[in-house]
Order: sequence, then C-alpha cells, then structure tokens
Amino acid sequence: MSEATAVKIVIGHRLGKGQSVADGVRAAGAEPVLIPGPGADMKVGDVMQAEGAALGISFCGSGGAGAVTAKAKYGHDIEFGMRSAQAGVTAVQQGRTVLGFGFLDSEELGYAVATALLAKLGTGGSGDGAGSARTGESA
Amino acid sequence: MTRRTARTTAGDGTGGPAGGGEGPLTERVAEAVADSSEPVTDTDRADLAELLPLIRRHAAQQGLVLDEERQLAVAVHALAFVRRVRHGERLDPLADELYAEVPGALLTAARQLVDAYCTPRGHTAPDSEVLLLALHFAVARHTGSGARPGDTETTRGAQA
Repeated sequence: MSEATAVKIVIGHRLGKGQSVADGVRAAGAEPVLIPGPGADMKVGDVMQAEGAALGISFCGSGGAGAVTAKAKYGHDIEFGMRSAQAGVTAVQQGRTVLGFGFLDSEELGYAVATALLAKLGTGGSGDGAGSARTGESA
Repeated sequence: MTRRTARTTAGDGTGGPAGGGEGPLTERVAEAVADSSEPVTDTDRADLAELLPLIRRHAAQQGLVLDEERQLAVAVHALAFVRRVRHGERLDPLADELYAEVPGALLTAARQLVDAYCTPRGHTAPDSEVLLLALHFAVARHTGSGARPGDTETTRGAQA
C-alpha cells in the first residue's frame, strides 16, 4: 500500500483555511495533513511530530509565527516571511523543514512545494490521488 | 548585508510571562530566525525595542498575560511588521468577513497600537495590519495562551 510510505506535509493556517494548498499537495503525490480551526499555524510543529511529517507549511499574516514556534519547540530548520511558491521551493531545496508564508492559500503553492520536497527526497510524485485527505485532529 | 551576530540590549521588557524575568524577547526572536534568509539586524532590534513595549502595554490593557509561546509568536509578527513599515510595504487587503471574526474592541485597540508605532514614522498602516495583529490577541484569548490575570481556567475550544 502506498499509504504506508506517503510523504506527509502538515498545513496550518491562522484562519483555519488551507484547503487549496492541501489540494495542491495531494495533486503532487504527497499526503496533506490539514490542521482544522483558527490558530492552526501555531500547531504545525506539534502535528508534524505526531504525524511524522516531512514538512510543515504555516500560514499567517506575517508568515513567521508558526514556523518559529515549530523551531523553538522541535528544532526545525525554518524559512519564514515568504510570499511566493518559488520562495517555498527554494527553501525546500535548501533543506528547510517548516515553511512560513503569508496568506497564500493556493493550489499552485501546495503543488510546487510538494513536488520540490518529493524530488529532494527522491520519491517522485505519483500525481492526483496519492495522498488521502485528512485533518490533523490527532494533534 | 544583514548582520547575524551583532547584539544590543533591546530593553523591551517583554521577556517573561508577566512582562519580565527572562532573557530579552528580541534575542529569542533573533536566535529563532538566525539561520533564515533574513536574520535580525541592529535596525530590527532598534525598531523592536520601540514596538514590543507598546505591545506589552496593549496586552496588559486587554488583560492578557501572554505565555512564552505566544510572546514569541507576537514578536516574530512584530519583526515582520517593523520591516514592512520601514520599507513602506503594504499588505494586501483581507476579506471583509475576516474582520467579523475579531471583536470590535480588539480591532479598535489594535488600531491604536499600530498607529502609536506608525504615526511618528509618517506611515499609515492598512486595516489588514490591524486585523493581523488583533488576531494574535484574539487567538491568545481563545486558546488560553493569553490568560487574563485571575483566570483559573481559560477557554481552549480551538486548541488541538
């Protein structure tokens, strides 16, 4: 079963959004874990830990709070304050494990970042449907 | 060229949960983002030394005592904010319905806080800046990470 080896990417949005990013992550062949509810960006590190995720994406106005919290609690290598999908791709290529963005709930971003991660991990992407849609309720 | 290691005493006084007691909050932020592409500079430190006390005063007026995690989150937001003000950068407008998610009193107070920092700099911050700052305090109050003094138990409804 591919699910056992799915690369998980946790998504937390300050306003409880992030569905479009999750769709893009899934389309690229990774498994999105979308944290529900307001303030979700602050839980990215916790949910990554619980899920054994390879990457976390945090969205808030300034693009930093959730990422910095994940670093402070779990020592993640972060990039923050990003405003574009390309910045996220670069950060992934540099080995960052938590990415902090402003409010950019776009499928393009999720797809680009997930594709970059899969390439970096050497797992490739299997395209639409590889990951199951879930929420991070277990955190 | 940014400077990664230059340190000054910020004197922001926001170090501990009650506004004092542990290391300067600015240096915690600097350490947290030291390896990012935009580490904290001396200019950032100078600006944060002015803004963070305003935020602490604002939190106190709202009856909030921010825990360490929330302090760091707000301070990181403050770092990005002072950079935007310095560069004259304006955030895009946010959807109207988002404003309805934050109590009006919090928005009004956040506007006063933002203006207190921006007006002397000849900058007028858009409403999106006000909302984003207010959201920090709204989330803190909602999750219990910004307990009101004397509270024995705070609402944790949205906390996972």
